Amino acid sequence: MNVGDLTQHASPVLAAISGSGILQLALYIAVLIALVKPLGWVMARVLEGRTGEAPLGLGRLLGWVEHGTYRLCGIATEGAGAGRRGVEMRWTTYAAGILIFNAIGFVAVYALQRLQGALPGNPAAIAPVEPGSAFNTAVSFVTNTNWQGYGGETTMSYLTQMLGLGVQNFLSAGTGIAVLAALLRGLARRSSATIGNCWIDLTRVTLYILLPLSMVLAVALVSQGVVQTFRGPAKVALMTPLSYAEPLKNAAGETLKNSDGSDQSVAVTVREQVIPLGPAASQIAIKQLGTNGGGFFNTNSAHPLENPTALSNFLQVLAILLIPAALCWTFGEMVRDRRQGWALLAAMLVIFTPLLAATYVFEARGNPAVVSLGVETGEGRGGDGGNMEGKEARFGVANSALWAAATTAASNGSVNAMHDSFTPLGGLIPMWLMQLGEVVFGGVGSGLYGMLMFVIVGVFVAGLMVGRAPEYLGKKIEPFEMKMAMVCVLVPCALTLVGTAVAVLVPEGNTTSNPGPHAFSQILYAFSSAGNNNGSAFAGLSANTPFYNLSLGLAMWFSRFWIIVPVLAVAGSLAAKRVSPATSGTLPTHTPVFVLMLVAVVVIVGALTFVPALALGPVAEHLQLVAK
Amino acid sequence: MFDLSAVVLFFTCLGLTFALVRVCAWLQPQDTPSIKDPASNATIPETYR
Repeated sequence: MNVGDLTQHASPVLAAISGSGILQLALYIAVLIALVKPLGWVMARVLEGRTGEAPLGLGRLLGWVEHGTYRLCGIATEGAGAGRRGVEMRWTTYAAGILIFNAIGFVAVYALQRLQGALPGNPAAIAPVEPGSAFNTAVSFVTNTNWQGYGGETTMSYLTQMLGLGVQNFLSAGTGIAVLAALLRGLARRSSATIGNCWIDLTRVTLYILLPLSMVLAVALVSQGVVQTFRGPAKVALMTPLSYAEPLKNAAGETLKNSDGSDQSVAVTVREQVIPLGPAASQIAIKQLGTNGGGFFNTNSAHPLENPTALSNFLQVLAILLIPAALCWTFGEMVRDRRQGWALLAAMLVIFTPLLAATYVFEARGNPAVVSLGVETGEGRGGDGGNMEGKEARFGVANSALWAAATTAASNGSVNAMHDSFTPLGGLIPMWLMQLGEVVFGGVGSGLYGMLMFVIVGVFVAGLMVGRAPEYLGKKIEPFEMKMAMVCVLVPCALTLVGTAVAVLVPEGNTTSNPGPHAFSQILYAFSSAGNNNGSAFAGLSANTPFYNLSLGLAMWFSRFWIIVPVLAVAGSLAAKRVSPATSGTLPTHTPVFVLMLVAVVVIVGALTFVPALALGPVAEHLQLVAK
Repeated sequence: MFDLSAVVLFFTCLGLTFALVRVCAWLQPQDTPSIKDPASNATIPETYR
């Protein structure tokens, strides 16, 4: 560690960060942008039903599986071969299909958890999950949130992990993309009563997009050492036996005392360790690609068997934003104006990149209380890498900051470092990224349809400013679309703030590990995560309690489906409209001006709604730290 | 929490969401002219919109 002189550097910010850290972040964004077009092109073909054009012969390879699925499930189709299409649905029918599909998912995941003790695939003989936790987990995985109030390796059998949680990772992600496909058809179609067929969309998205990508990523992760086995936990001899004094207790659990009043204890030497294993790689691949985030192991992607190397870390964090970013290109392709897709991607990057950089800087500078003692921690100045508390040495500050920003921008929720140990301002940014409504990339499908709701608000505001009737892609934006868009914007905000307020007020909410502003941050983070379907955990909050299982479960359900329903209503409404020809008075929505306008709408709504709450938590904690 | 209460709670949430579908459909203006089904290119009768 280098004890440096802060005054030697003109800029403490630049002095704290390192060249390799900046290079890693820049490389990540460059690779992400490079993959947007090829994957976006494939997804557009799939969502438009042109699966015969899918690359690598996937159309022919998987076509029989697709059509067999239709026959097996009794899904009515028209036409033949690659041109086969589903019977069209109105938006209300589409919404009912999505709700019923996810209700079945809930029942299946709940039943698997409750019955796992009597089912196969349970080599560690794990007991059934408690009903409250099972309810919370089933809602969590059905809604693509993947909030986990339990430890995976000690709570879930292999069968529950694979058949319940792993399958839901695919299906909840498929639901998000299917709803987006319906909205894009609503924008693209003219005078149509229908927006597609939800069963066909769910089948195609899962079969042609999620499954192939997951298989490729799972194999790549196995090559890096991510575990994939059906063997039970392994016992290994410790290289250095561990000795400690274990207190002796009576039947009532009280520690026995010696005659001198000291505790009675017995010396224990531990010579072996139990290492949990399991089919992790296959679940991790889809958990990242589908922006799910639920870890196979309790410590999620910080676990060495879930994310062992720098390369596995890069592949996983790339997978997190890959589909949400590529869907922007898919959007442009489907509405026959690629500039519109690039504009939305640009808006996301304009918000994401500075917040990523700020997270990195806050963490690289280290803990202000430590720095104030004259201890140099900034990694750019030869320190030990900034605030390394709760971070993995193999990832360092830059990759931990990247992961935190990417997973909270997307609705992923996995962690490779403990966000509870971030500096107050470093932890504020992931929290705020969730509170922005998960529209900066966001979940697969859900991020883009959320952003399109902000677009509707944006064109409406712009219309008010210039005195013209608002329209988007030639479709008039009328009061009905605005009402639906506002429901989408306000529901997550209300769930987050009301949930936090209730948790702070009632005694059952007081399960935090710290007092003061940090405790408030832990609660606010939990409801921001559940209320925006992220699933990220701050750590520190004991959330596997009846109160949190219930309240967070309700927040997750309503933040998912009370947005999907109005989005589909907008899709149905827009599909029925005619397209107005563009005139000199039409607001162009592909220009930098509109991109900045959209960014302003997202940021202002997020700031106005959550700054007071953030001031009570991370901002107050930061001020306490620097005042010491 | 018991199994029955968890299941009842879930189906209550599901019911409320179906109710939202009905409310949104009720709020949607019904004066859209000449809606066509892209599959058959036929005009959809008012009663089925």
